[in-house]
Order: sequence, then C-alpha cells, then structure tokens
Amino acid sequence: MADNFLEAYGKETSRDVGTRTMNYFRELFSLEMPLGRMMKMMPGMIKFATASKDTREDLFKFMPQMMPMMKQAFTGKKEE
Amino acid sequence: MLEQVKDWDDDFYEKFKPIAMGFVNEAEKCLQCGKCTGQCPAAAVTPSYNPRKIIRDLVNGNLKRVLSSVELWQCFFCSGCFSVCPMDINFPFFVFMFRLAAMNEGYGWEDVKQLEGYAEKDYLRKGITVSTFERNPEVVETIGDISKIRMEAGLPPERKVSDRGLAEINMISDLSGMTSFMKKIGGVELLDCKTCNDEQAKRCKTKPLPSKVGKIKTKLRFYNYGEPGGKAHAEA
Ligand code: SF4
Ligand code: SF4
Repeated sequence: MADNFLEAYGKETSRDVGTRTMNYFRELFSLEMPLGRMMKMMPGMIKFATASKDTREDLFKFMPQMMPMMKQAFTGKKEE
Repeated sequence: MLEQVKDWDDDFYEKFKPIAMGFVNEAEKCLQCGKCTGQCPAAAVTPSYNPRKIIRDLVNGNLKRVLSSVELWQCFFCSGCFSVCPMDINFPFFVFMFRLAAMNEGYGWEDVKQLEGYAEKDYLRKGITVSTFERNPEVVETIGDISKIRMEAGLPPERKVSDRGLAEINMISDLSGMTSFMKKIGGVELLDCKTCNDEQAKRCKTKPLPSKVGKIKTKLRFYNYGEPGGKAHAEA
C-alpha cells in the first residue's frame, strides 16, 4: 500500500488529475439533457404525480415549461 | 519521493472558474494572510488543517495533494473564513466542490458513507432534514437525545412533514440525482449505540471502506498538510 499521495498517484501528474476533474465537473454541471438523464428523472415525476390529486395537477401545470426540455432529450436537438 | 512543481496544473483554476457558474470568488487574489486559518475552529483542534494552504494548492493546481488529503474533509462549513477574508474568498464553497472531485478520485468515501442510513431512513422516507438521533454518547448522557429535548419543549419527538412536502422532497431528490447518489453510497448502516449488540459494536468500530462505489475504486486518504509529501494514512 502506498505510503503517501505521491506514491498513490504514481506516474500521474496533477495535470492528468486536473483533466479528469474538469471532465467530471463538466459532466456534473452540464445543462444539456441527454435521454439517459431524462429517463433518470422519470421515476421522480411519476412518484410525484401519483402521490395525490393536488401534486398531479401541479405537475401538469408545469408541463408546458418541461416540453422543450423533453423534446431536446428525445430528438437530441436543442430548440432555438 | 519529492513533490515536483512541474507536476502542478497551472491552468486548472482558470478552466475551473467558468464551470463553477460564477459562485467562485477570485481565489487567485488570496493574500496568503492566514486570517482564515487563524479563526478557523477546525484548524484550532486539528493542527494539520490549514485553509490557507489548501487555497494555495487549488490556485497552483496542486490537485494530487488537495484531493487525496484528509484535511479537505475537516472543514464543517461554518463560513468563518469567508467572513474574515479581506479578499472575500468563499473557501467553504471550494471545499464543497473539491470534495465532489475527491470522491470522483476515490477519496473520502468513508466519511460520506456514514450518511447513508440517515439519507434513506429519515430524509427520503420521512422528509426529516435534521436527524433527531444523537449518536454522541457524551451528549446523550448529559443532554439526552434530541427527540427527548423536543418532547420536553412540547413538540412531537420528530418533525412531521406533510405528505405533499414529502412528495416534493422525493421528486427534487430524484430529479437532481440525489436519490441515485444516496443509493450508490449504500452499504454501511447507521448503528444505534443504545440497542446494538457486541457484533454490531465491533463492526461499528472497524467500519470497512468498500473497495468500490459504483465504478469508482475507493482509496485511503493521507495527512497531506502535516509534512511535505504527506505522512501517514488516515484511519478508515
Ligand atoms: S483570509 Fe482570505 S486572503 Fe487571507 S489567506 Fe485566507 S483566503 Fe487568503
Ligand atoms: S468554513 Fe471550514 S475552513 Fe472556514 S472557518 Fe469554518 S471550518 Fe474553517
């Protein structure tokens, strides 16, 4: 087992670690909506819609604002 | 082996700034005055912890050292450093961001995993954001459990969250990816000192670090700010 962080990282430089970290941040804070991400959101919305009549109505009121995002997820294109 | 300056990622901080969506104050203006460390309660009890040095390493791009350190996990977000900083640098925000990055590198999971029991049991199922379950035996002995204090004050032992509130918390957690994150860190249970048996007590003391969380291989952290190059391993 490595004794210190330099040994733990071996030949990797901070530059490599920085690139990896930046890629991670870029993905984390990306505002794009790929299909995979959309699908992950579905269970939450279904749970919310089925919780009560009140929440269902609320979610449907919000739908017009959600549509562009959903379209983007399914078609992969961003609307102008 | 010695740390090599040529290893540092000089451009990292500039690349990082636009990503942090404007939340990042200009850390490159840090004067290295040490006011942050001087008033930091965490630094007062843990000598190797030093916000000033961590800021310096962030700006220099000495990422290996910051991300693999135990010290990154010793801040408890009191924001005292932010309030005294003459250059208005929001250090706790950096800590927040870089803990995420550290976890991506496989460091710090032993701390995060302890939240799992609370996350599933209290937060997602009951909507309680501050757990009433006190685990510090000293506090339990002298003051008592939080639920007891609440009852003495004429409140129900646990905060009651409406069904609608609960549905909202769950939806927000699902949408933001919090639920899947909580599921991912699953594994270590929160044990109750009052009811646990010998075997559980032993497990509690030797809380094993899982070798993998999702695709991330977990590693032990080092005390990187005690001595140059980092000294010993942190206990898991
Ligand atoms: S108080 Fe602010 S300027 Fe001074 S060392 Fe800390 S972060 Fe830098
Ligand atoms: S926010 Fe963290 S670093 Fe700043 S004073 Fe508080 S414990 Fe120390």
